Amino acid sequence: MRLSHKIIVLTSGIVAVMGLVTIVAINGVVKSTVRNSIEQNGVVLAQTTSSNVADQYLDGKLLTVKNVLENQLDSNRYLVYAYIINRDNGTVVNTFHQGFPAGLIQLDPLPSGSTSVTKLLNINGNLVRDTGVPLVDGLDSIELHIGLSESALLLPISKISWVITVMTLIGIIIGSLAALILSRLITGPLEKLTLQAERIGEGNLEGEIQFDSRDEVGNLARSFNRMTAHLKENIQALQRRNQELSLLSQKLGEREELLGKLWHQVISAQEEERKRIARELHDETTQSLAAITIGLKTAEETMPSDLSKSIRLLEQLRNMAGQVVKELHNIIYDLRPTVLDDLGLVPALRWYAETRLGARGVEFELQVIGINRRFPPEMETTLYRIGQEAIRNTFKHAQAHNVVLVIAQKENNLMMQIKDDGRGFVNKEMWSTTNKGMHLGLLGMRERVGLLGGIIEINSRVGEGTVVTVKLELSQKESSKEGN
Amino acid sequence: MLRKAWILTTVFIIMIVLFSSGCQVTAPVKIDLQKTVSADQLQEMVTTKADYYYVGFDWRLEPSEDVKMYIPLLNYLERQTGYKFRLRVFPQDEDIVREMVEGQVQFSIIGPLSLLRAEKYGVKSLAIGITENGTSRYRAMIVTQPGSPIKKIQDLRGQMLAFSARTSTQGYLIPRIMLAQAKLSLSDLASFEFFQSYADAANAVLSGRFDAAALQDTLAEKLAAQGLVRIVAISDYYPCGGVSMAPGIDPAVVAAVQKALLQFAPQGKDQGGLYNWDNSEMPKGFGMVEGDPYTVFRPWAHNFGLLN
Repeated sequence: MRLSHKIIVLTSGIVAVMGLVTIVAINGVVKSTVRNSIEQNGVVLAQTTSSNVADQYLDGKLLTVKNVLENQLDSNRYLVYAYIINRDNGTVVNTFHQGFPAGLIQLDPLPSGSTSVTKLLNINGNLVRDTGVPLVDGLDSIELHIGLSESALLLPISKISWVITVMTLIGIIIGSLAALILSRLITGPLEKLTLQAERIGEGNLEGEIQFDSRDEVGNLARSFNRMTAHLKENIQALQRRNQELSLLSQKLGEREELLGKLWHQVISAQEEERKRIARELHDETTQSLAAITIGLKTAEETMPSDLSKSIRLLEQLRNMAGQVVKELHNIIYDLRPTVLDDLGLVPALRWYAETRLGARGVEFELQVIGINRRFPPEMETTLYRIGQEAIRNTFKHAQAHNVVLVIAQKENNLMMQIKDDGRGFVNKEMWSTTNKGMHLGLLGMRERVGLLGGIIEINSRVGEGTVVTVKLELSQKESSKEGN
Repeated sequence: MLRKAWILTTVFIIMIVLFSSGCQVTAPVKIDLQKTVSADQLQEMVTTKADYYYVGFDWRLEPSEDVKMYIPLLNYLERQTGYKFRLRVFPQDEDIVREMVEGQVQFSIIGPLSLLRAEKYGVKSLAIGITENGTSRYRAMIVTQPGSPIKKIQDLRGQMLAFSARTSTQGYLIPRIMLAQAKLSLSDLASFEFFQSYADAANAVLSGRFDAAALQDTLAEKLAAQGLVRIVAISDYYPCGGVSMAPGIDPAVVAAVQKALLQFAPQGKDQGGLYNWDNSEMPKGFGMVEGDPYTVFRPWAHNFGLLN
């Protein structure tokens, strides 16, 4: 059932029930009270009448008594009849003009000693309250009866009941109309709210409920609008977070892909390094050792016959062995220069740059600022490897003529910069370069720096060289250490 | 839903029924005005068939007051004897003696004059009243207005005198004796009149319609004490009235009634329920009738022609 219908039914029901309760109360309580009053007044009237006529009746002045009773009947329009019945001699003085009704005789006589008895009679359709009293107290054989018309006395109450019934019906109609209007006032905004709720349920958060009233429904509408706005903001925030998460997910995927490539590069580099070492050992060291072995055999064979020649040959072999030792030394240094462990970052990078760039005719300049101490091994290793990669790039890819290496410490920041005047490259294509070796090298540098929480910046322009800058942050403990 | 509708309908019907009935609880008795009865039919249908002993009385005050006064005595007799008694009231002009003779009344509360008139029909005194002075004797008094020039009984000559009933001892017989003893006859009076009761005779003086009234002693003393009248003459003490019985009544009933009357103690154990019993001629109950107490009245009554 709709709310409006419920309000109408409830309002009409209340009006109807109240009307019925009023009618029942009037018919029950008021009529009962009036009946009691009629009964009491009847007794009083009967006793008054009896005291008025008793002496005359007892003196046998029956005509006078009859006149008194008839006068009483004329003066009281609710009085229907009056009579005195003598049960000793069977006579009656009454006001009935058409003869005494037989039905009244058949009424029970007054009980002995009683002061009054009332009975309800139906005389030709009219309710009459008959009140009987002894003519004189104690004289039970002579009774005076009067009849008061209860129908006439209750007529105003019956009229009131009908008026209330009509008013109740009018009240039901007016109440229903009022309830209809009221329900419209209440349910109209609620229907708007319902439609808005359905729109929100369908995902449409646009639009507001325009309702300016200051009542509870208006407050509900405003609360609903606020809820919709908050919901909208939250959904937008969620969408933004979703986009951010999507970007992060995408970046994570790329990162994982790069990491895979990096690992592949690491493995490849490891294999390349092994190949290089094997090749160098095979092409240089092994050849040299084979030549030394052959030379030693030749010297052994010629020594009995030509000692001087053997000595010269052995001198050559000694020089050759020295060269082999030098080659092996270079190979070992390329793998892990001991100078990094023994002397630190600056000597190691200087040694590497000078050995690699000097051999290729590239000018090298080292600037060391504010550094007079050692750094944590992982930090020195990271900077060495980044410097190693950057220096390698200057002669392998950039074909630079001048390289400047700057290593500086300022407070708790450690900075290393490798700057060359090579051919450079387009900055935005840095991470998408087709040069696989260079690309992976750059990625490796970034990953190493990232592991230590540092920053790497690579700036390059075509024809203007490349600048690689690495910044690491020293811990409070490390930054407070003095050089040793 | 259907159940609710049924409940609502039931409640509604109950309310409508209550509304239409007005919570009427007793069914009215139907009376048809067209069905009437004749006087004979009425008498046949109404007259009491019960076995009552009827008691008559001489009017003393207003008849209704007399009824109220004597009804408690009858109730007492019923309790004491087990018989049923009912008071029978006659108009003033109806002779109680004749009613007793005709059997309409079995017992009567009458004065000496009525008894003397009924003696010849066999009516006998059953018990004699005891007055306020503790004896069975009372007086009559003649009263005037307080400012009346009548100072003594002889001053009544040429005045208007109010008597009580013609059959009254205190209201007529004794005052006639008083007048006779003062050498006055009715013809010496300007006028006289009989009233139904002592109260009516007293009212005749109080209203100024009569110069003097002959009253029973108790009423005269009460009015004089209130300053309403002045007593100008007081009679001698004479035997008072009592309860008499008609002839032919069952002796057992007579004995029971007499015994109850003699045990009646209106100022003692039987005081409860009495109504103005002090105004009666037997305020202290009844005593045994000894000898012929009313001999003193006979010549006077005879001389006055009251026994005819």
